[in-house]
Amino acid sequence: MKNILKTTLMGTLCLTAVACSDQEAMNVNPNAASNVPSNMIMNAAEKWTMDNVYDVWFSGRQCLVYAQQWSQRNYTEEDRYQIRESVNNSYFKYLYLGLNNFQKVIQLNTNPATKDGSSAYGANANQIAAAMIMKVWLADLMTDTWGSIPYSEALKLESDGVLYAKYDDQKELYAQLIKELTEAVNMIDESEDAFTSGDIIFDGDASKWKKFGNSLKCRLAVHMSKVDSNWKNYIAEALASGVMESNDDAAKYQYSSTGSEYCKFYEGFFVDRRNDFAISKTLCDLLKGQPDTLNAKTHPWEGVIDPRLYVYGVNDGVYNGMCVATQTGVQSRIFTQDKVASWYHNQPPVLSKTFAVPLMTYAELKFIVGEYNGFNVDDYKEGVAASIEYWYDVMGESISQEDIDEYVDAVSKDVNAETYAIQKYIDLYCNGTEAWTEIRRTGYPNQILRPGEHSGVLGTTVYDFEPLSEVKGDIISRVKYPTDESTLNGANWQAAVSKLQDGTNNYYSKMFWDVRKNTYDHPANK
Amino acid sequence: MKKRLTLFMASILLFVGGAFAQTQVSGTVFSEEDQQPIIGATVRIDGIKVGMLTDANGRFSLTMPQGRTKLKISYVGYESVTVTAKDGMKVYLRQDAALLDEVVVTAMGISREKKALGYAVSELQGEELLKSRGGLNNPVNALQGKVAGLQISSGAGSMGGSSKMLIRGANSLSGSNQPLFVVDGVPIEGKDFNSTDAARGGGGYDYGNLIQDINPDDIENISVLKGASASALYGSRASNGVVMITTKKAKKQQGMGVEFTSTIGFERVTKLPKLQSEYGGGYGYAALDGEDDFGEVTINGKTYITPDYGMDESWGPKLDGRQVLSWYDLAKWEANGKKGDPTTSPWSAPSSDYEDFFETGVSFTNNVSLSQVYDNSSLRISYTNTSLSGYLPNSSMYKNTFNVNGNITSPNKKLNVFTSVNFYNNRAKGRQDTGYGDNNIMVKFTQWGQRQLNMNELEEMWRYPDGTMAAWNRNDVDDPTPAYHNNQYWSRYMNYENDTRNRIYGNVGASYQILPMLKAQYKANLDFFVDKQYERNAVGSQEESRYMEISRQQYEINHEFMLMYNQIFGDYSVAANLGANIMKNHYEYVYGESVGGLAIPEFYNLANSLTQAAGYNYRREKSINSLFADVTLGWKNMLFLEGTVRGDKSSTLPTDNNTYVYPSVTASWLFSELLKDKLDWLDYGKVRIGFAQVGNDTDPYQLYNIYSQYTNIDSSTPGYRLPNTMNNPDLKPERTTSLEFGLEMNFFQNRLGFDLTYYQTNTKDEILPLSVSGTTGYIYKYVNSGEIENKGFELGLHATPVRTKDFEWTTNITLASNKNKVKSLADGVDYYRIVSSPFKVEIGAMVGEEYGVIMGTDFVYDENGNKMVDENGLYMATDGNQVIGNIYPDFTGGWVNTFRYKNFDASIQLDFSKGGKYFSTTYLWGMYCGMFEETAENNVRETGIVSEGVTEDGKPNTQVVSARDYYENFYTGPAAQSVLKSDYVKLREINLGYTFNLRPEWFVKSLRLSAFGRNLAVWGPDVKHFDPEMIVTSSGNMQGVEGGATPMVSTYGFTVNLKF
Repeated sequence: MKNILKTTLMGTLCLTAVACSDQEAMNVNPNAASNVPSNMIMNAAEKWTMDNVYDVWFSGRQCLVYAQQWSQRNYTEEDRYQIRESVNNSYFKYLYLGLNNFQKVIQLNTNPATKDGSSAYGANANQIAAAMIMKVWLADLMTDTWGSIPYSEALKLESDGVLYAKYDDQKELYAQLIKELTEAVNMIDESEDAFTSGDIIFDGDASKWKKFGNSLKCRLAVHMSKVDSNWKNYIAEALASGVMESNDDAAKYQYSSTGSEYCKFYEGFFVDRRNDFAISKTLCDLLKGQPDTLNAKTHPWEGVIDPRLYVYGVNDGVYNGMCVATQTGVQSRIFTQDKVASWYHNQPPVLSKTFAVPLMTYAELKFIVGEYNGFNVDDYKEGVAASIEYWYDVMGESISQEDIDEYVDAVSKDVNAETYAIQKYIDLYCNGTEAWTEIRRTGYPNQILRPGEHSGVLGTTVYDFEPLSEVKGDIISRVKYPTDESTLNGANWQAAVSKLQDGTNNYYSKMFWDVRKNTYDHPANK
Repeated sequence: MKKRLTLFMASILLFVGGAFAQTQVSGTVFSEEDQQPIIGATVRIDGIKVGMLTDANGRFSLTMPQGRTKLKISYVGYESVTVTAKDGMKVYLRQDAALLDEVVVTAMGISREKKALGYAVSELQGEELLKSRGGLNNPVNALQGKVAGLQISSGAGSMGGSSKMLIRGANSLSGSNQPLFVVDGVPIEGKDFNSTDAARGGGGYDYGNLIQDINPDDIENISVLKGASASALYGSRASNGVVMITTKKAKKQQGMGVEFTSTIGFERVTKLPKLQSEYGGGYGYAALDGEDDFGEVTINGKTYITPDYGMDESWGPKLDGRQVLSWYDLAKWEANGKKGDPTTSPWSAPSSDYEDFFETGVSFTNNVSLSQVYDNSSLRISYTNTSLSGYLPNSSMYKNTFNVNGNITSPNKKLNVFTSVNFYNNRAKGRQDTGYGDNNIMVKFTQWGQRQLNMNELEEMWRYPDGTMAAWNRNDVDDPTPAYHNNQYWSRYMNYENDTRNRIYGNVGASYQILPMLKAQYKANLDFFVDKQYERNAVGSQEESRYMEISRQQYEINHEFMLMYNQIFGDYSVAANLGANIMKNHYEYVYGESVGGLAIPEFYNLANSLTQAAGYNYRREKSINSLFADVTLGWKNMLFLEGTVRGDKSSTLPTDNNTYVYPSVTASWLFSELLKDKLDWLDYGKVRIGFAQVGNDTDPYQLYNIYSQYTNIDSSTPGYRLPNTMNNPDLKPERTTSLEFGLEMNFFQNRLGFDLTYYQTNTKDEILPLSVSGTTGYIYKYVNSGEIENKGFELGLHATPVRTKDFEWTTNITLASNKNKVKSLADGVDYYRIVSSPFKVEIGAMVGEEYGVIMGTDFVYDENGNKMVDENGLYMATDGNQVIGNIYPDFTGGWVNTFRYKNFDASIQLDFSKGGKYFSTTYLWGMYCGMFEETAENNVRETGIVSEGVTEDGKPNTQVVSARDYYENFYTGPAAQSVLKSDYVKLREINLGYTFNLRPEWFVKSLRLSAFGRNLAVWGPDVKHFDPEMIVTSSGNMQGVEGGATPMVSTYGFTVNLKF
């Protein structure tokens, strides 16, 4: 009896002990890596960011329709400034996840424990600089979308346990971003790689990162042209440090056709099968040299066909754009009536699997520098030509120099702030937020349809652009803060909302750099 | 050791015996029913408090003091007898029907007298589960309304879909609150593997929770252990209560027992949203702009009117009978090679509407069981087969279940080797896509669609002769490709899933009676299953064609050791158990899916992927080692005190914090024992009190940070990103503390009685993935959160108002109320998101509120409580999310009446739920798209609507808006518009039966015929379009959002039961 008891008890404890010894090992996750080289994180950070910015939601249903580059051909809520809460919630956080991954690259190259290991994948300082530049690029896009956003206290959950980040005043945020860009470009050692591999944007070329950093500084500076007298100083600093010099230096992200890693524009159409978009009539008519007779608006180059029309639209010989944001039922009928090409059946180049999404083009830089130089003709011409070459190159097509010259001459008869803005708007195709930002900053192109203007004609009935949300007669000034923040970051969200115009979370509060007095007002030109 | 114990025993007996002159008496105690010796029966010398327990052979041996001749022999569940002592005597005990239900199976499978329990246990006989099963439902649904405090929400008509069970409210903020299921001591995996999307209404199939694998035919009885006290011995997983299932064992009878049961069941859709039949598909109508939606097309020189095929809303032209070129006319014409002229059809309400899409589901369930008891062994073998065709086209399900129960005892009866094995095989096809899924036909019928569509046309013409789809939602007259939606029949016949599950669960073990009062037992409990799912979207569907395959495999093994000790000392009794358990759980998941579509139509293999198919795998391991003990002390069969303690060491927690020990103490007092002689109307009275703690760990891999693989766009450098969830190396175990009081009383020969329980349960330090603001760089962070409290009462009332020889009426009422409060969350956190719905709202937990709040935009109210209307004449919505409802009911209950007249019996059950709300996505889009009846009522499309409320200047709103603008505001305006009450009263079940009087010597010994009906009617404030129960698409905590829910069905059926 004693033995039985003893054996049983001993057996129990032994078995327990044996089982205990491998319990700790059991809790190491076999499904994911716990140590990853910094270049692999940079690789994912770049792609994650591109996937979530250049897609049919953040871009396709929001900034591209706000910029009137794309139009939804059926459900026009966003075109009429009614956002989907769930989309707004998702993208707000997805973009922060993007920031956090760039931040991780910086940490791995800063932290003494991981710094040396990381240097095997590119010089520490260069990796840090590249990640900082991407962070600034993304943060700028975010603040230009929502306004004041958390930045100084954001991304500090892991390091400091910060669950609730305050919203930084947009003006201060811009100052901070300029400062970070300056730091970043100054630390780059062009003789060393930024990344040995994994960097899709510049393939690890440190000097290109530096040029991009300085060019981006010019973009931020010009955004502040009406509100910060230092804007020219920032550009001067950047030019001195070195900016993009040709289309070769352009910042773009080239998707590959391997596996399922297609450009998200393609995926939205052909994987998710959403035939919801078409090129906007606003952009299309500008490219076609067609004035807006419905609203009696002139065209600066009436009858001049932009070579980029073949790149942006569907070559069906007609190139009809989709009118802007009439009501849902009307929209689809005008689509049919106006013979707008269905992108679903006629795939425009922008919907190719391997589309290279543009972060910033050389042409854009030329237009900024030209504005800095007082809207001069040479920068303008160079910008327009560079843009045409760039877009043809992205699509894998070529265009003769004569064709370029012919167009450049046709659009350079009277170069001023307005022509600058229009050419920049055309070049910023697919760069929805930046295009929208420039419309808000400059008030141009005049051809952008404003609320209350005539949008389209169905039969004999004229439909007007009637926003679903209050925008005080202007185009949308910002995107509302997501409802997520009201529950997960309530006090800070509340504080940020209270600083908006009328203290409500609305679409009409202006960016700090948007100081237009009315919808057409362009202070730079007055 | 053995010697010492024997000596100790002997000394007690000697001491007792020494005082008197002595006669040695020995004998054996048998059960009269099966002639088996009874082990552990109490044998006392009448008049004095001396006695012993029978040994493994039912034997006892006593020394009778002089002057004493009578022995009182008793055993739980049997009638006590007093007999004259005689050496070599045989005593037969008869089972006591009245007392039988007082023995309940408690934790670790230990049978206990109910009166000794200091906590609430509800018991049900297995046959309750059999009465009304049509073979279609999750068997646990049969418990609905029958157990106080057990809330079951069944996903309506979803074949093999999930049921959500909740005992005493939600204790856990995240994950699941499903109780632990234990079958013959084997913990059974009961959760579901549904995607988050399926649970939140985003889409995907509801594959059901795995608890449906239990087979009602093999269930002897079910004990529901509700509180932490009851389940303290099960540890972590039992903090939400335990459902203990005991399967049928062979019973002693003449020769072999053969039983055959056959059920045929039918199901019909009963509750469908009410839709308008006055306007067809499209978006414009006369009132809008003086022209309607029709277009024109000229074919062969003839001009036809065309509706707006591509639009998927029903704000179109009035159904006035005009001849139009319908999608069906076009498709027929195209199918015929565009020969001749197409036909036209009247633009009118469909002659066969969407209710005609649903078929009558039919199920057949047959069970045969064989059992026999031999001298030293017993065996029961049972086989059940279920086949059903569901109410949706192309849906079916087959189940096979084998159950074997047996044991062999050594000739001296000391060693008992036993086993219970269940084999389960299931295959299903054509489960319904849920939520916002591409092939959820309910979305196409009630949310986005055209109201003039004829089901018989859709069915006849769902594909062209070349095999491609014929879509009603075609892009244009000359473009037959689908715009947004598949033909519903295409969805059912081409884009279906199928799945299989093979499962074995059961145990094998041995016990040894070391001493009459001491038994040792070892058991190995296994639950193993392989679950396969295959999903396909055919080439030619609106969405990209796709094939995917999931393989899941899990095994869990529990090695359980126990020492069981029972002894009586005079007025005192002692029962003690000491045990150890080693649990290992291993789960693997492999997933493959096509990428970029499929090459060859209707060939479903990963090799058919257009680009290289993608594969993922996931492994998970977990172990818990435990030691536990419990002691029950009894005094005079009247006062009982039980204490338990358990310690767990879990692999999922940090090594310095992975061991947690938790106790429970309960007491019960049968005060009726004192009053027995004074109050003869009082049969039974007991008060009980219990305190218990249960510790809990978490899922594996939540401690250390990892990176997720994100891309391999650069072939040399894969991309890894930070995960959405930040892990936490400082987690500590969760703890649930509960306190309960109970009062049980029976009166008038047990014809009236009640069982009342009050409880309070507090769960602290729950480990959960806290939703954090995206600005932190993460979406979730694992934390030990604060405290959630549940308080409530449960009342069970039973009465037998009439009892005569021929007629008996019994009535049972259960009532339960639970008040939940989220007392705190993690430090500085006041909100936890459980899930966000695809469109408008999220479900969460907020400090100070009840668990499960619906967060969304509300109406804006002025200071007088009027809804505010904006300058467009539409309801204004609040800026941010607010609490606009709570998803859990305050009150639930059931009422069962049972009648018996001679050989007829009948029962009727009602149950109800009060309080609680849900957000309905179908309601939202059904309004938005002009589908629901309301959108065409009272001529609103012609005359417009005035939003009832006040304008910003405080005056009543008088602005007339178009019906479409008004109903579109269901999406663009306040979310609160689509929040509905989930209150209901339901006619749950009616049963009728007749048992024939047959003689035992006949070939057929017993014959019973019965009929049932289930889910026969529902009443409630918001049941116009929905049965509030139908919104369940998972067993977990993501509840409260309806999205394209499967309609409620009623089931009817007949059962024949034969015994040979």
